[in-house]
Amino acid sequence: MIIREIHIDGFGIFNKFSIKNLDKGINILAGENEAGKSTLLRFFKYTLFGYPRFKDQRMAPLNGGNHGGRIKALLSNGREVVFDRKGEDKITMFYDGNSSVNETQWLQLLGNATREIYENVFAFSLDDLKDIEKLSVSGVEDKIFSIGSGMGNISVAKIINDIQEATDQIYSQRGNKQLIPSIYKLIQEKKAEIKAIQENLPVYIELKDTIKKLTGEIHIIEEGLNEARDKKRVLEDYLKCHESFILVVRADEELKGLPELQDYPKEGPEKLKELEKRGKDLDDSIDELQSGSGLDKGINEIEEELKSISFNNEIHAEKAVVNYLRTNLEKYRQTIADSAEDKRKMEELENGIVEKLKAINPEWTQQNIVDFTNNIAHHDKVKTFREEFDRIRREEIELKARKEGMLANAGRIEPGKLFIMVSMVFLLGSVPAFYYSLYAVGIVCVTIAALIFFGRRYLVKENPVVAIEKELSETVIREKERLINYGDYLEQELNLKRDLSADSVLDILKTIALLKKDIGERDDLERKQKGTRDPFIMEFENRVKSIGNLLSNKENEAGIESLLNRIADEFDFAENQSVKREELEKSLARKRSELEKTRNKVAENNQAISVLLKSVNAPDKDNFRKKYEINQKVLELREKRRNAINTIETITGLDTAGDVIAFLRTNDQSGLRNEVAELESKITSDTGELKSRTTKLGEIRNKMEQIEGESELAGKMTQLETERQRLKDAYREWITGKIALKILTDVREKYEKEKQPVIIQNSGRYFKKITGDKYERIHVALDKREITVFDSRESSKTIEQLSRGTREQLLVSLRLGFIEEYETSTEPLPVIMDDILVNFDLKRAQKTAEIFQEFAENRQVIIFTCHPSTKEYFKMPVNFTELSRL
Amino acid sequence: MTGILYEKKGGGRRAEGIGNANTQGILYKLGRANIQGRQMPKVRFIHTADLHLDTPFKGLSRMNSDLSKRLKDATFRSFRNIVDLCSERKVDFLIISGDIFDSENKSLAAQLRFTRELKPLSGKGIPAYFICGNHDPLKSWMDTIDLPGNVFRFGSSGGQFYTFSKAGAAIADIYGISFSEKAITRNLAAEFKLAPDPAPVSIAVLHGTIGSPGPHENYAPFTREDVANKGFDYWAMGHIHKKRIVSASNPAILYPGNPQGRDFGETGEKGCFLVEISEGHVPAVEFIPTQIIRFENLEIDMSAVSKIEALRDKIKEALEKSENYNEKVDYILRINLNGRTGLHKSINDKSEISELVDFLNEGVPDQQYLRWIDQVHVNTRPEIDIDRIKNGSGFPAEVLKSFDIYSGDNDKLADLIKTAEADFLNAQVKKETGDFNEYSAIELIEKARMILVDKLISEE
Repeated sequence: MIIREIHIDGFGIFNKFSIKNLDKGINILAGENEAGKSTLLRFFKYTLFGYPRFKDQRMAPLNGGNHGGRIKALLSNGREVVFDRKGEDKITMFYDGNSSVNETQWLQLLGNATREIYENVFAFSLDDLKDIEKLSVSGVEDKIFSIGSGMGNISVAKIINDIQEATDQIYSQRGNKQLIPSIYKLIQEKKAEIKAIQENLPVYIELKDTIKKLTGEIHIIEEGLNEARDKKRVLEDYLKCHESFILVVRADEELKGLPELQDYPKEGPEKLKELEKRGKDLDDSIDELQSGSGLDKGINEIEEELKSISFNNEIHAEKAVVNYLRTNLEKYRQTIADSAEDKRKMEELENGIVEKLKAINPEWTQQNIVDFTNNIAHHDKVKTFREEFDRIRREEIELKARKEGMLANAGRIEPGKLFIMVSMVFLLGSVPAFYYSLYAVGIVCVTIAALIFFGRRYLVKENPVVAIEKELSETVIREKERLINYGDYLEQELNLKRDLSADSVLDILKTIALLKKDIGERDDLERKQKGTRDPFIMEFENRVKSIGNLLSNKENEAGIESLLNRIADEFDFAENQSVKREELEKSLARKRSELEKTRNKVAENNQAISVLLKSVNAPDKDNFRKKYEINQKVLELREKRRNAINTIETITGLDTAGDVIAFLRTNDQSGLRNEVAELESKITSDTGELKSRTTKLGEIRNKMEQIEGESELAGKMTQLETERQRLKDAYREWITGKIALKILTDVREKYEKEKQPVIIQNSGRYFKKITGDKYERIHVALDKREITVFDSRESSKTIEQLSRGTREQLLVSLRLGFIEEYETSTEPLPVIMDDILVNFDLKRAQKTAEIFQEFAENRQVIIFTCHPSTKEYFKMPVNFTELSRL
Repeated sequence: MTGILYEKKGGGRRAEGIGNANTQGILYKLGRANIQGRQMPKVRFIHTADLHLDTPFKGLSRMNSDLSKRLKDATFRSFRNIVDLCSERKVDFLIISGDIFDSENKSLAAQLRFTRELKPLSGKGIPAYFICGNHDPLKSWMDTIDLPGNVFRFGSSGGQFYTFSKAGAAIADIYGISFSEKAITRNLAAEFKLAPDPAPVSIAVLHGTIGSPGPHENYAPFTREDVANKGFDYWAMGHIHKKRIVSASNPAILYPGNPQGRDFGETGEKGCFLVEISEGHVPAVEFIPTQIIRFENLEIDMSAVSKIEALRDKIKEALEKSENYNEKVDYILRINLNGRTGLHKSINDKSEISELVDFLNEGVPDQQYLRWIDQVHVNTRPEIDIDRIKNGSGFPAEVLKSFDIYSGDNDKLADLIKTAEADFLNAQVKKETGDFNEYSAIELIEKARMILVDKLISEE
C-alpha cells in the first residue's frame, strides 16, 4: 500500500491540513521540533489502526475542525482506497467505488496488520536504536530475535522465561520447595492425621471388648475375695472367743466343787458389820454419857456439881422489886434534884407576887388576882375609853383652833345677809319687768328671788363661830359624861380607884395578867412537889429499906444508894446460881433420857444381829460370814461364766456360744491362726489383682472418653480434600504452562527454521551493503541463540564484539530484512521512520540512506526529520515536503 | 385440612422470611382433598436421608480457620437442626432413609454422635426409624453401638415393620429394608409387602435408585411399576442427593436429598421433608432447609465492568439474584467470570485474582453470615479480536494458527498433554492428581492459548 494523500480535519495542532504529494520511494517530511512530526506519526497510526482508549492521548483538535481525517492510498492490487476515521473511531472506507463501514474489510485491506505489527514492523524510531544501547548482550540478541520474529518490543525469550519460571515454581524436577511438593507434603501429613483418627474405630471396638472381659474377671475375683473375707472373719471371731472360752471352762471346773447358789438375804455380811459397828457405837455413847468427853460433862460430874450450889433465896424471890429499884435508881436521883430546884423557884415566885400585888393595890390579895377575869375584854374597853378621850381632846383642840381662826378672819359680811340682799335685788328687778309687760322676765326674777330667800338656809351656814362654840360645849359635855362612865367602870368592874389614868389602868391590867401567870406557876410547882415527887421518893426509899432487911449481912447503912448496891450484888449472885442450877438440872435430865434411849438401842441392835444370823442358819457370826463368802464365790464364778458366754455371743451372735465352745474344744488355737494367716495372704494378693484390673478399667474408660471426644475427622478430611484440590489446580496450571511453553517453543523453532533463514538472508544483504561490505553475512545459531556476523575473511564476531554503531546497523538491516519477508505474505505497508539518521556520522548516514533508497525502490518509505539537510544524504531525488510551509 | 403444601419457608439456621421470588419451583402442590369435620387418623413425620455424617467437603480451593470451623461439624449440625425440628413441629416420628455415615471414612465420631444426637427424641417420646444404605451397610455399624430407646433400625430381610400407635390405636406401619453390605443390586422394592390388617397409613423406607441410572451408582434399582400397587401411601426414599419428588401420590415417592451439600455439585438449598398423611388422602409435604452452609455457582459477565473494584458489588448482585437466595445463611461461592472485557489482562493475573479473593474473604469483622469465595474462574476474553490476529502475519499469528491443529483432534490433544505431563516425574503426586478426561483437556489447551495470547498480544 502506498499512501498518496493525507487530509486532516482536526488533529492536535493540525486543522484542515493536507499532504498530497506522497508517493512510492523515499518521502521526506521535514519540520522543526514542534512542527508536528510526532503528531503526524500518530495520525497515520490512529487513522489506520484506531484511536487509543484514553481521551488525553487521542490528540483532539487544538485549532478547530472535526476530530479525524482520512488517508488516501493505493493498494498493491492497483486499486485506490480512502480510509476515513473520525476521532470517535467512526470509520468510513471508500473502495471500489463503494463506501463501507466494514471494519473487517478495512483490516483485510491492511493485511490484517495490527497496531502492534505496525509498530513492531513498519514503524522505525530512534528509540529502537536507543534501546540497543541499553540492552546487555543477551538483551540485544533477544531484541534481534524479536525483531526477527516481528515482535518488536515483546521478547519471546522473556515470555518463555516467564512461563518457565512460573511452572518451575509449581513443580520442577529438582528440589522440593515448589508449590506441588509442598502441597503434597501437606497432603501426606493430613493423611497421616486422618489415619490416626481412623484407627480410633477399631481401637474403640477393641477397648469395649476389653472392658467387657475385664469386668467379668473383676466380678469373679470379687466373689472370691468376699468368700475368703467371710471365712477369715469367722475364724477370727472364733479366735477372739478363745479367751472367753477358757474362762467358761475354768469356771465350770470350779463350780463343780462348790454348793449351789443360795438365795441369802442381800448384803448379809455388810449388815452384820453394820450392826456390830452400831453396837460398838452405842456402847461408846453410853460411856460418854456417863463419863463425859472432853468439855462435855458426864452425868456423874453433873450430879456432883448440883450438890454444891447455894444462894440467898429470899432476896432472889424479890426479883421484881430489885429490878424495879435498879431501873428507877436514876429516876430517884433525878427526882431529888428536881425537887430541890422547884422549892427554890417557888420561893422566888412568892416573893415576886407579893411585891406586884402591893403595887397594884395594897388591899388586894392574891385571891383578887385569881378572881380577876376577862382581862382582855377590860383591856380593850379601857383602851376604847382612852381613845375616846383622846379623840374628844383632839376635837376640842381643833374646834378651838378654828374658832381662833374664824375670829381672826371676822369682819366680813355674813353670807346670810348677803343672800337676803341678793334676793331683794331680784325681787326689785322683777318690778320693772312687770311694768314693761316683760312678764316672763318678771316671773323669772321673782322665782329666783324666792329661791334665794327661802333657800338661804340651805346655802348658808350658820355663823360658824357660833356653831363652833356650840360644838365645843357639846364636846365638853360629852367628855364629862365619858369620864363619869370611865370612873364607874373602874370602880365597879375593876375594883380600882376611879382616878386612875387609862394608861395606868392598862399597866395594871398587864401586871394583873403577869401575876396571874406567876401565881399559876407557883401553884403548879407546889402541886408537883406534893403530888408526885415526894411520894415517889418516899416509896423508893421504903422499898430499899425493906429489901435491905433481907440482906444476909445486916449492917448499918449509910445511904439508900449504897444499900441498894449491896442488895443488887447479892441479888445478882443469887440469880447466877439459880440459873446455873437450872442448867445443870436440864442437862442431867437430858443425858439420863439419852442414856435410857441408848440402852434400848443396844438391846434392839443385839436383837437384829441375832435375827440376821438366824436368817442363814448361822450359829455364830463367823459361820455367818463364811456362808456368805462361799455363796459369793459361786455367784462370781457364775457371773464370770455368763460374761464369757456374752462376750462370745457378742462376737459370734446370739445363741451361738454352745457351738463356739464345742468348736473350740476340737480346734486348737494355733491351727486356727495358721488358717487365718493363709486366708489373709490370699486376700492381699487377690486385692492386688482386683486393683490392677480396676485401674486398667479406668484407664480404658479414659481412653474411650478421649476417643469419643475426638471430632476432627471431617474437618481434617475436608482439609485433605482442599489440599488435593489445590494440588489438582496447581498441576493443571503447571500442565497449562507446559503446554503453552511447548507450543510457543515449537512455533518459535519452526519460525526460526522456516522464516528466519530468509529474513537473515535478506538482512545479511542489507547488512553487507550498509557496512560497506565490511561484513559479508549474518549467521544465527538457532539452538544456541547466538548471532554472529562474518566479515569478508570469514572471521566471526559476536554481538559483544561489535561496536555500537555496527550494532545499530545490524538492527536496521534486520528490520528491513524482516519487512521484506513479511510482505511476501501480506499487503505491504509504508515503512515510517522517525529521524533515524540523526545520530549517524556522515559516512554511516550516507550508507544507510543508500540502503533505504534501494529498499524503497518498490516500496514507500516515509522519513520524518528535523533536519532538512537529511535529504542531502539521498543521492537520488526524493519527495521532500517541508512541514512548516504547509 | 387440605392437602396443599404450604410455601416453603426459609431455613438453615432458623432464619425467617420466605425465599425470594424464585420460589416457583418449590411450591409443591400435591393435590387437594377436602375433609369436612371428620377426625381422621393423621400422622406427621420428618423424612430425611443421606446424612453422610462426618464426611469431608470436597473441591474447595482455599481454607481459613473460620471456614474450617464452620464446616467442621456442618453435617452434624444440619442433622441436629432436623432433630430439633422434630420437637418444634411436634412430629410423631422421624424417618432416615440410609447412608447415615460413610463406612470408608472409618469415623467413630459419626456413629457415636449419631446416637447422641438422637437422644433428645427419646426424651420427648418421638421414635426414629432408619435403614442402612450402601455407604453404611449393616455390617459396618459397630456391634457395641448403643442406640437410644425409641430408635429402631431395620434389618436386611423384608417383611419387618414397626407399628406406631397413638392413644392405643395403631396409626401407621413403617416398613424398611437395610443394606446388609455395600453393593446391593437386587430390587429391594419388590420385597416390600403390606402385612395383613394394616394400620391406616403405611410407609415404606427404601434406599435405592428409581428409573434409569444417572450419576449415582445404581443400587437397589426399581421402577415406578414396582411400587405402584403395593398399597403403601408413602415411599421414603434415600440415595439420591438432589431432592426430588418423583411422585406426589398413589403412592408418594420422595427423595429428600442430603441435608448438607458438600461440594459444588450439591448446590442450592438442602434440608428435609415434613410430611403429614391422613388415611386415604394425598400426603402434604413441606420442604424445610436445614443446611448450615450452601454451595452456589455464580456467573458474572465482565463485559460491562471496567474496574476491578466493582467485582465485589457484582458478586453481591449475582448472589442476591441466585435461586432461593437467603441472606441468613452461610454461602461458599464459585465465581465464573465471563465476557469480553478490558480488564481481561489484570483479571487473568493469578496473583491479582488470588489477592482479590483473599481480600474479599477477609470479609467484614463479625460478619454473621459467611460469603466465602472458594474460586474465581476467569473465562473472560480480551477485547482484542483474536481471530483477526490469527489471520494476520507475524509470530503471534503463527502461534495462534498452531493451536488449530489440536481443535477437533482429541488424539493429538491427548498426545500433547502426555508430552507435557512427561516432565512430571513424581509418580506419587501423579496418583493424587488423576487423569484429564476429554472435557478438561480441551479446557487446558484453551487456557494455554489464552496465556500465550495475553503475553504475545498487548493492548494499548
